[in-house]
Amino acid sequence: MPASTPYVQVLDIEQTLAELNATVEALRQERDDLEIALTTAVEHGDAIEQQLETANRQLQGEVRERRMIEKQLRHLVTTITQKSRDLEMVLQTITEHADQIDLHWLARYIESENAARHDALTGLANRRLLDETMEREWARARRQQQPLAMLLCDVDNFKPYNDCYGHPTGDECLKRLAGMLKGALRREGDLVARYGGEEFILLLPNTDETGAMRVAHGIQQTLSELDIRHERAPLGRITFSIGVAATIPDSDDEGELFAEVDRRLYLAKQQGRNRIVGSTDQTTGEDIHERGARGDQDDSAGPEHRVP
Amino acid sequence: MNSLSGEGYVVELDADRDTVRMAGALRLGGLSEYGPISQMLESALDGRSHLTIDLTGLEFLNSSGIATLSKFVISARNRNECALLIRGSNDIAWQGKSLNNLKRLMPALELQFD
Repeated sequence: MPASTPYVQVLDIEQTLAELNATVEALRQERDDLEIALTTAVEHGDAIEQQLETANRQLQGEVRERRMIEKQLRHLVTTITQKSRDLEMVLQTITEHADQIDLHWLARYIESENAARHDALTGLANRRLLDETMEREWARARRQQQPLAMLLCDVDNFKPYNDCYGHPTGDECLKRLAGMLKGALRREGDLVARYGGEEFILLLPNTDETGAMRVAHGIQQTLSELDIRHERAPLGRITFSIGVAATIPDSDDEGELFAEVDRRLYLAKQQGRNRIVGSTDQTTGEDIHERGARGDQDDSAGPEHRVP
Repeated sequence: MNSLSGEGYVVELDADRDTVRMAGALRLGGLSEYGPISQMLESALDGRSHLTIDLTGLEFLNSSGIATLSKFVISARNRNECALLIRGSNDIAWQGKSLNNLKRLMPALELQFD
Protein backbone atom coordinates (compact mmCIF):
# COMPACT_ATOMS: atom_id res chain seq x y z
CA MET A 1 0.00 0.00 0.00
CA PRO A 2 1.51 3.29 -1.06
CA ALA A 3 2.16 5.79 1.70
CA SER A 4 1.13 9.48 1.32
CA THR A 5 3.77 11.98 0.59
CA PRO A 6 4.63 14.50 3.29
CA TYR A 7 3.81 17.39 0.87
CA VAL A 8 0.38 16.13 0.35
CA GLN A 9 -0.12 15.81 4.07
CA VAL A 10 1.08 19.42 4.66
CA LEU A 11 -1.22 20.69 1.96
CA ASP A 12 -4.14 18.88 3.52
CA ILE A 13 -3.37 20.28 6.95
CA GLU A 14 -3.04 23.85 5.57
CA GLN A 15 -6.27 23.42 3.76
CA THR A 16 -7.94 22.10 6.83
CA LEU A 17 -6.52 25.01 8.88
CA ALA A 18 -7.70 27.46 6.32
CA GLU A 19 -11.16 25.97 6.42
CA LEU A 20 -11.14 25.96 10.17
CA ASN A 21 -9.98 29.54 10.22
CA ALA A 22 -12.78 30.45 7.86
CA THR A 23 -15.26 28.61 10.05
CA VAL A 24 -13.89 30.31 13.18
CA GLU A 25 -14.10 33.63 11.41
CA ALA A 26 -17.63 32.93 10.36
CA LEU A 27 -18.53 31.87 13.87
CA ARG A 28 -16.86 34.97 15.28
CA GLN A 29 -18.76 37.09 12.87
CA GLU A 30 -21.94 35.29 13.82
CA ARG A 31 -21.13 35.75 17.50
CA ASP A 32 -20.48 39.45 16.96
CA ASP A 33 -23.73 39.73 15.07
CA LEU A 34 -25.58 37.92 17.84
CA GLU A 35 -23.99 40.17 20.44
CA ILE A 36 -25.05 43.20 18.48
CA ALA A 37 -28.52 41.74 18.09
CA LEU A 38 -28.68 40.91 21.78
CA THR A 39 -27.46 44.34 22.79
CA THR A 40 -29.91 45.92 20.40
CA ALA A 41 -32.73 43.75 21.76
CA VAL A 42 -31.81 44.52 25.38
CA GLU A 43 -31.45 48.22 24.71
CA HIS A 44 -34.68 48.23 22.74
CA GLY A 45 -36.41 46.38 25.56
CA ASP A 46 -35.07 48.88 28.07
CA ALA A 47 -36.23 51.75 25.89
CA ILE A 48 -39.69 50.18 25.50
CA GLU A 49 -39.89 49.50 29.20
CA GLN A 50 -38.90 53.05 29.98
CA GLN A 51 -41.40 54.35 27.47
CA LEU A 52 -44.12 52.13 28.94
CA GLU A 53 -43.26 53.28 32.41
CA THR A 54 -43.44 56.91 31.35
CA ALA A 55 -46.76 56.24 29.62
CA ASN A 56 -48.02 54.41 32.71
CA ARG A 57 -46.97 57.29 34.96
CA GLN A 58 -48.75 59.70 32.64
CA LEU A 59 -51.85 57.54 32.61
CA GLN A 60 -51.86 57.21 36.37
CA GLY A 61 -51.46 60.95 36.62
CA GLU A 62 -54.36 61.41 34.26
CA VAL A 63 -56.47 58.89 36.21
CA ARG A 64 -55.71 60.73 39.44
CA GLU A 65 -56.55 64.04 37.78
CA ARG A 66 -59.76 62.67 36.36
CA ARG A 67 -60.74 61.17 39.69
CA MET A 68 -60.12 64.55 41.30
CA ILE A 69 -62.20 66.28 38.64
CA GLU A 70 -64.91 63.67 39.09
CA LYS A 71 -64.85 64.28 42.83
CA GLN A 72 -65.05 68.01 42.27
CA LEU A 73 -67.91 67.52 39.84
CA ARG A 74 -69.74 65.29 42.30
CA HIS A 75 -69.25 67.94 44.97
CA LEU A 76 -70.48 70.58 42.54
CA VAL A 77 -73.53 68.49 41.67
CA THR A 78 -74.26 67.97 45.36
CA THR A 79 -73.87 71.69 46.05
CA ILE A 80 -75.99 72.66 43.05
CA THR A 81 -78.65 70.09 43.98
CA GLN A 82 -78.73 71.42 47.54
CA LYS A 83 -78.90 75.00 46.29
CA SER A 84 -81.64 74.08 43.87
CA ARG A 85 -83.59 72.37 46.68
CA ASP A 86 -83.03 75.41 48.90
CA LEU A 87 -84.20 77.76 46.17
CA GLU A 88 -87.32 75.69 45.57
CA MET A 89 -88.01 75.72 49.27
CA VAL A 90 -87.38 79.47 49.53
CA LEU A 91 -89.63 80.03 46.53
CA GLN A 92 -92.34 77.93 48.12
CA THR A 93 -91.88 79.73 51.44
CA ILE A 94 -92.09 83.13 49.78
CA THR A 95 -95.08 82.15 47.66
CA GLU A 96 -97.02 80.75 50.59
CA HIS A 97 -95.99 83.71 52.69
CA ALA A 98 -97.20 86.10 49.99
CA ASP A 99 -100.52 84.22 49.91
CA GLN A 100 -100.83 84.60 53.66
CA ILE A 101 -100.07 88.29 53.40
CA ASP A 102 -102.63 88.63 50.61
CA LEU A 103 -105.22 87.07 52.90
CA HIS A 104 -104.12 89.40 55.68
CA TRP A 105 -104.57 92.47 53.48
CA LEU A 106 -107.81 91.14 52.04
CA ALA A 107 -109.21 90.73 55.56
CA ARG A 108 -108.06 94.26 56.40
CA TYR A 109 -109.56 95.54 53.15
CA ILE A 110 -112.89 93.84 53.83
CA GLU A 111 -112.78 95.16 57.38
CA SER A 112 -112.10 98.72 56.26
CA GLU A 113 -114.65 98.47 53.44
CA ASN A 114 -117.14 97.26 56.00
CA ALA A 115 -116.18 100.02 58.44
CA ALA A 116 -116.47 102.61 55.67
CA ARG A 117 -120.03 101.56 54.94
CA HIS A 118 -121.40 100.77 58.37
CA ASP A 119 -122.18 102.76 61.45
CA ALA A 120 -119.70 101.92 64.21
CA LEU A 121 -122.23 102.12 67.05
CA THR A 122 -125.18 100.19 65.67
CA GLY A 123 -123.56 98.12 62.93
CA LEU A 124 -126.28 99.32 60.52
CA ALA A 125 -125.51 100.66 57.04
CA ASN A 126 -124.30 104.25 57.11
CA ARG A 127 -125.16 107.14 54.79
CA ARG A 128 -122.57 106.05 52.25
CA LEU A 129 -123.95 102.52 51.88
CA LEU A 130 -127.48 103.90 51.92
CA ASP A 131 -126.64 106.35 49.11
CA GLU A 132 -124.97 103.61 47.03
CA THR A 133 -127.87 101.21 47.57
CA MET A 134 -130.41 103.94 46.89
CA GLU A 135 -128.75 104.83 43.59
CA ARG A 136 -128.76 101.19 42.51
CA GLU A 137 -132.33 100.42 43.66
CA TRP A 138 -133.69 103.67 42.23
CA ALA A 139 -132.25 102.82 38.81
CA ARG A 140 -133.56 99.26 39.02
CA ALA A 141 -137.05 100.35 40.11
CA ARG A 142 -137.11 102.89 37.28
CA ARG A 143 -135.97 100.28 34.75
CA GLN A 144 -138.45 97.66 35.96
CA GLN A 145 -141.21 100.19 36.73
CA GLN A 146 -141.56 98.79 40.25
CA PRO A 147 -142.30 100.83 43.38
CA LEU A 148 -139.53 101.69 45.82
CA ALA A 149 -140.52 102.52 49.39
CA MET A 150 -138.74 104.38 52.15
CA LEU A 151 -139.37 104.78 55.87
CA LEU A 152 -137.68 107.52 57.86
CA CYS A 153 -137.90 106.76 61.59
CA ASP A 154 -136.91 109.32 64.18
CA VAL A 155 -136.70 108.61 67.91
CA ASP A 156 -139.03 110.98 69.72
CA ASN A 157 -137.65 113.08 72.57
CA PHE A 158 -134.20 111.54 72.29
CA LYS A 159 -132.31 114.56 73.59
CA PRO A 160 -134.23 114.49 76.90
CA TYR A 161 -133.54 110.73 77.01
CA ASN A 162 -129.78 111.37 76.73
CA ASP A 163 -130.03 114.19 79.27
CA CYS A 164 -131.94 111.98 81.68
CA TYR A 165 -130.07 108.68 81.38
CA GLY A 166 -126.69 109.78 79.97
CA HIS A 167 -125.08 109.18 76.61
CA PRO A 168 -123.90 105.59 77.26
CA THR A 169 -127.51 104.57 77.95
CA GLY A 170 -128.56 106.60 74.91
CA ASP A 171 -126.10 104.61 72.81
CA GLU A 172 -127.43 101.34 74.23
CA CYS A 173 -130.95 102.47 73.38
CA LEU A 174 -129.91 103.22 69.77
CA LYS A 175 -128.33 99.76 69.53
CA ARG A 176 -131.54 98.09 70.73
CA LEU A 177 -133.59 100.11 68.25
CA ALA A 178 -131.17 99.19 65.46
CA GLY A 179 -131.54 95.50 66.33
CA MET A 180 -135.30 95.86 66.35
CA LEU A 181 -135.30 97.59 62.92
CA LYS A 182 -133.02 94.89 61.48
CA GLY A 183 -135.54 92.34 62.68
CA ALA A 184 -138.26 94.23 60.79
CA LEU A 185 -136.59 93.50 57.44
CA ARG A 186 -138.00 90.52 55.62
CA ARG A 187 -136.47 90.55 52.15
CA GLU A 188 -132.89 90.14 51.06
CA GLY A 189 -132.81 93.49 49.22
CA ASP A 190 -134.21 95.48 52.16
CA LEU A 191 -131.81 97.84 53.89
CA VAL A 192 -131.86 99.66 57.20
CA ALA A 193 -129.41 102.50 57.72
CA ARG A 194 -128.59 104.93 60.48
CA TYR A 195 -129.32 108.20 58.75
CA GLY A 196 -128.38 110.64 61.47
CA GLY A 197 -128.03 110.79 65.27
CA GLU A 198 -131.35 109.17 66.10
CA GLU A 199 -132.79 108.81 62.59
CA PHE A 200 -133.06 105.53 60.74
CA ILE A 201 -134.05 104.82 57.16
CA LEU A 202 -135.53 101.63 55.78
CA LEU A 203 -135.27 101.17 52.03
CA LEU A 204 -137.69 98.59 50.68
CA PRO A 205 -137.41 97.65 46.99
CA ASN A 206 -140.46 96.31 45.15
CA THR A 207 -142.73 97.67 47.88
CA ASP A 208 -145.64 100.06 47.47
CA GLU A 209 -146.88 102.48 50.09
CA THR A 210 -149.45 100.06 51.49
CA GLY A 211 -146.74 97.47 52.08
CA ALA A 212 -144.43 100.11 53.54
CA MET A 213 -147.19 101.33 55.89
CA ARG A 214 -147.60 97.79 57.16
CA VAL A 215 -143.87 97.53 57.82
CA ALA A 216 -144.13 100.87 59.68
CA HIS A 217 -147.05 99.60 61.77
CA GLY A 218 -145.09 96.44 62.54
CA ILE A 219 -142.19 98.58 63.77
CA GLN A 220 -144.45 100.66 65.99
CA GLN A 221 -146.01 97.48 67.34
CA THR A 222 -142.63 95.91 68.16
CA LEU A 223 -141.40 99.17 69.66
CA SER A 224 -144.40 99.33 71.99
CA GLU A 225 -143.69 95.75 73.01
CA LEU A 226 -140.02 96.58 73.65
CA ASP A 227 -141.27 99.23 76.05
CA ILE A 228 -137.98 101.08 76.50
CA ARG A 229 -138.52 103.24 79.57
CA HIS A 230 -138.33 107.02 78.99
CA GLU A 231 -139.71 108.93 81.94
CA ARG A 232 -139.56 112.28 80.14
CA ALA A 233 -141.70 111.06 77.21
CA PRO A 234 -145.50 111.46 77.19
CA LEU A 235 -146.09 107.67 77.14
CA GLY A 236 -143.20 106.92 79.52
CA ARG A 237 -141.43 104.93 76.85
CA ILE A 238 -139.43 105.41 73.64
CA THR A 239 -141.56 106.11 70.56
CA PHE A 240 -140.91 106.70 66.87
CA SER A 241 -142.23 109.24 64.42
CA ILE A 242 -142.18 107.70 60.96
CA GLY A 243 -142.46 109.23 57.51
CA VAL A 244 -143.42 106.73 54.81
CA ALA A 245 -143.30 107.22 51.04
CA ALA A 246 -143.16 105.03 47.95
CA THR A 247 -142.86 105.81 44.30
CA ILE A 248 -142.28 104.31 40.90
CA PRO A 249 -139.30 106.40 39.76
CA ASP A 250 -139.67 108.33 36.54
CA SER A 251 -136.62 110.56 36.82
CA ASP A 252 -133.00 110.11 37.80
CA ASP A 253 -133.40 112.24 40.91
CA GLU A 254 -133.57 109.83 43.80
CA GLY A 255 -133.47 112.83 46.15
CA GLU A 256 -137.20 113.30 45.68
CA LEU A 257 -137.98 110.17 47.76
CA PHE A 258 -135.66 111.37 50.54
CA ALA A 259 -137.35 114.76 50.44
CA GLU A 260 -140.81 113.21 50.62
CA VAL A 261 -140.16 110.95 53.63
CA ASP A 262 -138.41 113.85 55.31
CA ARG A 263 -141.44 116.05 54.72
CA ARG A 264 -143.78 113.38 56.09
CA LEU A 265 -141.59 112.80 59.12
CA TYR A 266 -141.77 116.53 59.75
CA LEU A 267 -145.56 116.30 59.56
CA ALA A 268 -145.53 113.40 62.03
CA LYS A 269 -143.46 115.47 64.43
CA GLN A 270 -145.71 118.47 63.94
CA GLN A 271 -148.83 116.40 64.57
CA GLY A 272 -147.59 115.32 67.99
CA ARG A 273 -144.97 112.58 67.42
CA ASN A 274 -145.41 108.82 67.90
CA ARG A 275 -147.15 108.39 64.60
CA ILE A 276 -146.79 107.26 61.03
CA VAL A 277 -147.43 109.66 58.18
CA GLY A 278 -147.82 108.39 54.66
CA SER A 279 -149.65 109.95 51.74
CA THR A 280 -153.02 109.58 53.52
CA ASP A 281 -152.65 107.26 56.49
CA GLN A 282 -151.91 108.54 59.98
CA THR A 283 -151.62 106.33 63.01
CA THR A 284 -150.86 107.25 66.60
CA GLY A 285 -149.10 105.16 69.18
CA GLU A 286 -152.34 104.71 71.10
CA ASP A 287 -153.95 103.17 68.01
CA ILE A 288 -151.10 100.71 67.81
CA HIS A 289 -151.62 99.75 71.43
CA GLU A 290 -155.25 99.07 70.75
CA ARG A 291 -154.49 96.89 67.76
CA GLY A 292 -151.82 95.09 69.77
CA ALA A 293 -154.37 94.41 72.53
CA ARG A 294 -156.80 92.99 69.98
CA GLY A 295 -154.06 90.71 68.67
CA ASP A 296 -154.58 92.00 65.14
CA GLN A 297 -151.84 90.42 63.09
CA ASP A 298 -152.40 92.61 60.02
CA ASP A 299 -149.82 95.06 61.32
CA SER A 300 -146.95 92.60 61.23
CA ALA A 301 -144.51 93.33 58.45
CA GLY A 302 -143.99 90.62 55.89
CA PRO A 303 -143.34 90.04 52.24
CA GLU A 304 -146.98 89.13 51.67
CA HIS A 305 -147.95 92.76 52.21
CA ARG A 306 -145.71 93.98 49.48
CA VAL A 307 -145.54 93.96 45.77
CA PRO A 308 -144.27 90.54 44.74
CA MET B 1 -77.80 96.29 72.89
CA ASN B 2 -77.30 96.34 69.16
CA SER B 3 -80.46 97.44 67.40
CA LEU B 4 -81.93 98.58 64.10
CA SER B 5 -85.22 100.37 63.85
CA GLY B 6 -87.36 102.20 61.37
CA GLU B 7 -90.95 103.13 60.78
CA GLY B 8 -93.01 100.60 62.70
CA TYR B 9 -90.33 98.01 63.38
CA VAL B 10 -87.37 97.18 65.58
CA VAL B 11 -84.69 94.49 65.30
CA GLU B 12 -82.40 94.14 68.28
CA LEU B 13 -79.68 91.76 69.42
CA ASP B 14 -79.75 90.97 73.12
CA ALA B 15 -76.25 89.52 73.47
CA ASP B 16 -76.76 88.43 77.08
CA ARG B 17 -79.76 86.32 76.15
CA ASP B 18 -78.36 85.18 72.79
CA THR B 19 -81.55 86.50 71.20
CA VAL B 20 -82.41 88.58 68.18
CA ARG B 21 -85.86 90.10 68.60
CA MET B 22 -87.80 91.31 65.57
CA ALA B 23 -91.01 93.21 66.25
CA GLY B 24 -93.58 95.41 64.57
CA ALA B 25 -94.28 95.49 60.86
CA LEU B 26 -91.33 94.88 58.52
CA ARG B 27 -92.05 95.96 54.98
CA LEU B 28 -88.69 97.19 53.66
CA GLY B 29 -88.27 97.43 49.90
CA GLY B 30 -86.26 94.55 48.46
CA LEU B 31 -83.36 92.44 49.70
CA SER B 32 -80.93 95.39 49.56
CA GLU B 33 -82.90 97.29 52.19
CA TYR B 34 -82.87 94.18 54.34
CA GLY B 35 -79.05 94.12 54.08
CA PRO B 36 -78.32 95.60 57.56
CA ILE B 37 -80.79 93.21 59.21
CA SER B 38 -79.26 90.32 57.28
CA GLN B 39 -75.80 91.34 58.50
CA MET B 40 -76.98 91.61 62.09
CA LEU B 41 -78.45 88.11 61.92
CA GLU B 42 -75.29 86.67 60.33
CA SER B 43 -72.98 88.26 62.87
CA ALA B 44 -75.23 87.05 65.69
CA LEU B 45 -74.21 83.51 64.69
CA ASP B 46 -70.49 84.31 65.18
CA GLY B 47 -69.02 82.56 68.21
CA ARG B 48 -72.38 81.33 69.48
CA SER B 49 -73.45 77.76 70.08
CA HIS B 50 -77.13 78.70 70.20
CA LEU B 51 -79.23 81.65 69.06
CA THR B 52 -82.92 82.48 69.49
CA ILE B 53 -84.84 84.54 66.92
CA ASP B 54 -87.87 85.97 68.68
CA LEU B 55 -90.65 86.79 66.21
CA THR B 56 -93.54 86.78 68.71
CA GLY B 57 -94.03 90.51 68.18
CA LEU B 58 -93.52 90.55 64.43
CA GLU B 59 -97.03 91.27 63.20
CA PHE B 60 -96.16 91.71 59.55
CA LEU B 61 -93.31 90.61 57.30
CA ASN B 62 -93.32 91.17 53.57
CA SER B 63 -91.96 88.76 50.95
CA SER B 64 -88.46 90.28 50.90
CA GLY B 65 -88.40 89.85 54.67
CA ILE B 66 -89.26 86.16 54.56
CA ALA B 67 -86.65 85.73 51.79
CA THR B 68 -84.04 87.36 54.09
CA LEU B 69 -85.06 85.06 56.93
CA SER B 70 -84.90 82.03 54.61
CA LYS B 71 -81.39 82.94 53.46
CA PHE B 72 -80.28 83.37 57.04
CA VAL B 73 -81.64 79.95 58.01
CA ILE B 74 -79.80 78.36 55.05
CA SER B 75 -76.61 80.12 56.13
CA ALA B 76 -77.00 78.89 59.73
CA ARG B 77 -77.58 75.36 58.44
CA ASN B 78 -74.48 75.49 56.21
CA ARG B 79 -72.28 76.91 58.98
CA ASN B 80 -73.50 74.08 61.21
CA GLU B 81 -72.00 75.55 64.34
CA CYS B 82 -74.92 77.26 66.06
CA ALA B 83 -78.24 75.74 67.16
CA LEU B 84 -81.15 77.91 66.08
CA LEU B 85 -84.47 78.42 67.87
CA ILE B 86 -87.22 80.52 66.29
CA ARG B 87 -90.05 81.67 68.54
CA GLY B 88 -93.34 82.57 66.87
CA SER B 89 -96.87 83.36 67.90
CA ASN B 90 -100.06 81.44 67.16
CA ASP B 91 -101.90 84.75 67.14
CA ILE B 92 -100.07 85.96 64.03
CA ALA B 93 -101.60 84.33 60.97
CA TRP B 94 -98.60 84.35 58.60
CA GLN B 95 -96.22 82.70 61.04
CA GLY B 96 -97.80 79.23 61.15
CA LYS B 97 -97.10 78.23 57.58
CA SER B 98 -94.04 80.34 56.81
CA LEU B 99 -92.05 79.36 59.89
CA ASN B 100 -92.77 75.69 59.31
CA ASN B 101 -91.36 76.09 55.82
CA LEU B 102 -88.14 77.41 57.38
CA LYS B 103 -87.87 74.14 59.29
CA ARG B 104 -87.89 72.35 55.96
CA LEU B 105 -84.82 74.37 54.99
CA MET B 106 -83.09 73.47 58.24
CA PRO B 107 -84.45 70.29 59.81
CA ALA B 108 -82.39 70.92 62.98
CA LEU B 109 -84.17 74.25 63.47
CA GLU B 110 -86.28 74.34 66.62
CA LEU B 111 -89.64 76.08 66.36
CA GLN B 112 -91.59 77.23 69.37
CA PHE B 113 -95.05 78.81 69.16
CA ASP B 114 -96.31 80.78 72.15
